[in-house]
Amino acid sequence: MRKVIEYTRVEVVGDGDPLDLVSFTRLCRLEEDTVADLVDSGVLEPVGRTRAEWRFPQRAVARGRTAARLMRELELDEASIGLVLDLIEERDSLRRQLDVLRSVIEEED
Amino acid sequence: MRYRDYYQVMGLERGATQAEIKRSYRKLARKYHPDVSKDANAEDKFKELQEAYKVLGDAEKRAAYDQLGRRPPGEEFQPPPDWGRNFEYSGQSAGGDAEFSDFFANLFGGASPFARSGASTTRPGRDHHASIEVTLEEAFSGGERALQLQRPAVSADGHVGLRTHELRVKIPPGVTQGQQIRLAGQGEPGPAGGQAGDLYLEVHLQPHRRYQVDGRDVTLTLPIAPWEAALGATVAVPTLGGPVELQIPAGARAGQKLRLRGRGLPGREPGDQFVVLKIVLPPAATERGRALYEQMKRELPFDPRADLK
Repeated sequence: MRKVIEYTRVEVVGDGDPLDLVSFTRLCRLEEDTVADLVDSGVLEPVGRTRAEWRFPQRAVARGRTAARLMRELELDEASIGLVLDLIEERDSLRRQLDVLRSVIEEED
Repeated sequence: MRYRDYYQVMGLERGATQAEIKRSYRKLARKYHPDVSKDANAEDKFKELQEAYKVLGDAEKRAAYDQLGRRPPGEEFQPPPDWGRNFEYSGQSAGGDAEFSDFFANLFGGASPFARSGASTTRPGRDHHASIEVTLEEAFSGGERALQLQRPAVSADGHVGLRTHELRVKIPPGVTQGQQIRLAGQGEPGPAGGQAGDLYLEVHLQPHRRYQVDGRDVTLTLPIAPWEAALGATVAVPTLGGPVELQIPAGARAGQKLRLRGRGLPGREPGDQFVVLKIVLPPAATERGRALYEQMKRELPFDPRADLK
């Protein structure tokens, strides 16, 4: 009893216009107050001064989602999440550089 | 459905205290969290752990689970007909449990006594989230994918199982790691006639044997001969959109990075392709090859260790 649906209309989040707090919050699966705390801690950096004026670039959604996941699943708070995210990003960047350097000095598989 | 031994998953004895359960969860969560772990099976292990903790970490659910008795993990299992009768239900919603096992769905999820919230008011359906594995080629040119999603559904006899739901999705060109594809109205149906939620697919790029990917930028390691590095050369370089000619400057070094602007993943701001040079020495395997090396040795005033003196 499989239900097959032909579906083609999709929208990519990440490349479009900046998002207001409500849309950003929904996409990140965060509470508005948590997003505000993350802005206060400098983890997220929207344009605009007040909550109503905040505009988040769409590429910040991935960072917001990772923050939400880590806070929920590792029971981290707003104060520590910034450090964890920065370290994860730095680690990923170092891993990429290491992979490239390895490929320059090592024989092909 | 199959029995799951949540104590075994968490590495605990049956008599563990709630404090021990919490400690074990935190320790294992740090070890297996997919954002942190290098373990290839981290995602599956973490999901199992979350499911186990959702039950054992909640005193009410844990007591109900303990009443089932201990069985070998994986054994065929049916919940007792009076399941949940003697428990007071806290009526928490079962949101976010869609990826847990049949065992969980039947005992604690969707329409189990533990999720009876009596919420029949009109509200929008929840958004659903899933991930999608995309190859770099698909990310560049776009693609199409049939997705099978499992959703909890109530069968005729009142049990909750997972029903397979198939979707065809067009992947637009230019998606990158961590981006989300939104399918409007494909999330949870709105209860009592509310608006349906959306389905979000988070893009996971599969590792590529040739390219490293960082956002929309890609990096390729290009092997060149020593004379190409020394004299400069024009060589054909593969890119995601097909080969292009690349000018290697004379005196190029190993590890040097050259940029092919706009040859990465497409988008509003297209990515670049970086080319990192790797100098490959020809083997001195033939007589002629050895003779050429001998000639360089004799005629080139070259000391690679000059700096060490």
